[in-house]
Amino acid sequence: MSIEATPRPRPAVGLGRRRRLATAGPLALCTGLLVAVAALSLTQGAASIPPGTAIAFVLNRLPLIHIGVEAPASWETIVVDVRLPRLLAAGVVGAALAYSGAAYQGVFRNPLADPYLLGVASGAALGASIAIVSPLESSSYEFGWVPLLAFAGAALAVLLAYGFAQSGRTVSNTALILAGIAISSVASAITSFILLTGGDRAQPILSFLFGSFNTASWTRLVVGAPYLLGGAAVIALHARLLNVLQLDEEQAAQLGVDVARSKVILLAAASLVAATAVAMAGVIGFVGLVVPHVTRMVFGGDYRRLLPLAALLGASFLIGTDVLARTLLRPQEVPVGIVTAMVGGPFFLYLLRVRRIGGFR
Amino acid sequence: MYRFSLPFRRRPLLAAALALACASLVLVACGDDDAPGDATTPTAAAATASGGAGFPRTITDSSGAAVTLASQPRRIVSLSPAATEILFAIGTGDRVVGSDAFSNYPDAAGQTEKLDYSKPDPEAALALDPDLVIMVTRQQEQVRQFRDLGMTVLYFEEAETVEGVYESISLLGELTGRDSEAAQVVAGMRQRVDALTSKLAGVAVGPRVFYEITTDLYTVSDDTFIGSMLALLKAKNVAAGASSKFPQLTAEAVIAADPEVVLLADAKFTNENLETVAARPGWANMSAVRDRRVVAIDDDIASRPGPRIVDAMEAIAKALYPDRFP
Amino acid sequence: MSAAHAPAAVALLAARGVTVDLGGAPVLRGVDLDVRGHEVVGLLGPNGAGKSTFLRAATGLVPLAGGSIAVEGVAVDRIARRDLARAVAVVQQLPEAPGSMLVEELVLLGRNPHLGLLSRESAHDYAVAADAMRRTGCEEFAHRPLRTLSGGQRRRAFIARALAQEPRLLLLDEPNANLDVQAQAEAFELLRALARDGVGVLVAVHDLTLAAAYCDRVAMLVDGRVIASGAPAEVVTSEVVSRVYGDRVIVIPHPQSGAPIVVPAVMERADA
Repeated sequence: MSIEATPRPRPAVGLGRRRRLATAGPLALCTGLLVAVAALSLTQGAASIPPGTAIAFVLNRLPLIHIGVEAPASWETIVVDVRLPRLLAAGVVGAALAYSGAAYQGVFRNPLADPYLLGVASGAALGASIAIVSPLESSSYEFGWVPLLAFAGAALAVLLAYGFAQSGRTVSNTALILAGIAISSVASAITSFILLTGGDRAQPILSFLFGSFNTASWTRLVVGAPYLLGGAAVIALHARLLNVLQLDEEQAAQLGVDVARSKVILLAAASLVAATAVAMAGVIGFVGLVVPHVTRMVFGGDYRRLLPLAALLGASFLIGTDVLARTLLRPQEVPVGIVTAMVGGPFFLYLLRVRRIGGFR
Repeated sequence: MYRFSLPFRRRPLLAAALALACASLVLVACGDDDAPGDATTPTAAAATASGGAGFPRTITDSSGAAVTLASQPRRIVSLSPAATEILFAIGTGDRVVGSDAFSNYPDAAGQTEKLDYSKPDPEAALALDPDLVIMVTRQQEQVRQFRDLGMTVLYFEEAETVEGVYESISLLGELTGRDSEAAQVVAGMRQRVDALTSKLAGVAVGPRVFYEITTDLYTVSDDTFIGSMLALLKAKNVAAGASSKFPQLTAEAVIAADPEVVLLADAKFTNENLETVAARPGWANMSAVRDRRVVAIDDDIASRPGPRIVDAMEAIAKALYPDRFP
Repeated sequence: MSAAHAPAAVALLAARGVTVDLGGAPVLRGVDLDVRGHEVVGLLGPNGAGKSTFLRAATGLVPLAGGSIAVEGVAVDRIARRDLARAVAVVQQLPEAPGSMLVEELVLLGRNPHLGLLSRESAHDYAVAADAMRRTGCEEFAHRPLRTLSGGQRRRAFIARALAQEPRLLLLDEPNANLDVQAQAEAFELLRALARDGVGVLVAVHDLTLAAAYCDRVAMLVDGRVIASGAPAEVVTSEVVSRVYGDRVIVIPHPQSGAPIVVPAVMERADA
């Protein structure tokens, strides 16, 4: 540690440039992957529509593009009104779950944290179950009572968990996790009870618990988008603070972070995003846990890079698994939550094996 | 991650199908334990002359067990809505002292003592002092427990074809000494079914049909008795190729198959109708929607392999061929 | 707060009668201590004397049961965290950080208090971080993850992060622990260089000889009380040292500077 400056090879300006380059490459890579998976998704389905025709239908919806297509009208309906909203729903939900999972893992400094840690999934499931067994009228294709009560249940669960864990102005991570587990257990127990006594209504509840994009529609996307974008924007603004929070909370405070306030804001935003995703597509596990973790293992732990990359990979992953969900037993549907676990689990284990570094220690 | 702690229960039909899958695994797993090879079709044994009214009689049930009844049963507990309907239809309903929670037809069945369908409490059953307990697929794993407690249990797997329903009725008739009444019920059903099919003699190929169980597009394959009814009515089930009994189809598969008729078995709970179906993305141009042939079907009738399936069949026939069944 | 250098009259850190209870047990009992710009102050004392607690209290992380702590004339609990972090930087004894974090990433975090929610690091921020790494000799391992560093390198990286904050007051907890003699000397020479630039340095340290050699003033903390304070030669005396540490050590003058040196008072040796 010499005080007098001895000539060093690395110029000061190189630092910032290198960091920007290190972000551009992976961003391009993951965007390319997303485009490829999206194209695959558009061209796969129960109806045999030539891939070129399917892509042309979608491109024609963009301004200034006109590709002549000779095809039955029903094909265009299938591609534009069925495949496209489903693809977008899977992408949006995948991105949202991965994004909010990354934020949760950052706040808790724990790779086992996921968006459902504070009760979003159990609360949403309970809300949805109540909507399903209640006499409230609901159509599964619009943003009706089921997603509405699911969202409310998720929000309520997180608020309750936070309220119980709070002491004074601060809230400890351990207390939060324990409160989240307790709230989840209670909500799950009530859902199980509804499931048991629900008779004929049990099947829609189970469908919600497995998650599906079969009833994706433009309406749902449009209704959900503001919440997703709002929550994601707040998280994005806090990306650098998430980096600081990777040190312990005391160091973060000494680096100028109001830890208690940042935690509330980040958890609220991440829960909003996760709750909206669950309201849109039901409880889809695994994505929010594993995608941010894999992203961190491959591309490092800088949240300003990690967050957008996790969103891109989450979208690609869920679009890809949804293609499998639609085509494995064509024309049947496999619940997408089952496919995410079947495909993602072994891949995750492989990564753990090949790259032993976890990223958090 | 969401956890739920209890097994689920659907309408008896679906539950039965799922339980059947489990049951077949169990049968394979415990092989020679209590389930001999040809255990699927219950048959009357040779102990008494078939059709005779004399007791004792012995019947081999779906588990392969020989069930001996010393005398005509007087206190029956039926744990299957379909079996309950059959018992009432063959005139022995007054002897049903207990039934499962789903047995709600006829009204008198609703007034019997109630037991759980998916996990009936053996103590509650014993308290009714039954001389015959009828158990079905969903309760397969509890059959031994009930027998060990000294109850006489007939175990039978619920029918999956229209012919199977006839067999169920004959079996229960034989079991309760109501052979001729059962034969009459079956004959009446056959007659009504024949009346339906005879009107369809001129139909070479019936309409393409989608039978919707839930709004997220669970449906029935040919291997269910709804599927077999659709086949009898010459309709082309768009889920015909599916590998499971109650498959969930992708929306795209339904739209691409372009059904000419959509039958909504979920209408009672979800308020689905022609308008809501037309509003689904990509459904507006479907033949069934364009021709306004989206019809609600009472799922209670259609999902129970009992005497009322003919009612369901008539309703479906009407929906499929409005011109032939005005 | 905004002035780069507070007037010399206002102490950077002014502790008056600071009393801290942790879980009912008194840890600090009426500590008075000032740190001004341009000086290195040593906080001495045996294990458990309360040195670390005092440093934490100085950044408002421990509630006071009595007394007051002011930074540049303002009570710490009334300063926003971000403003405080621009004035005061802390180097903890064993700070945690993700093993995959690169040294340059860690050092850049030091710029956090200078950045708004919407801003990214500017060329100036990168230059400051680079300079901090240069002064601490971190450049050659700047691109390595923390988990690959030796104990000494790791400590330098955290000191660099503190320097990147451009603090007017620097608090360090045992910065020489686990360092070899050469590295210890380098670390304290860096603190002296910072003091020359006007920074006020408060360093909690075990090693009395090292403290006496490099500090302008020292305070001896025992059981939460300051039992002696002043110039090293006044505090690190045989009398004080034997009162605190018993009679197994003696104090002798440095052959060149005359600064006190604390050595074991060897009574007998096996080969003597």
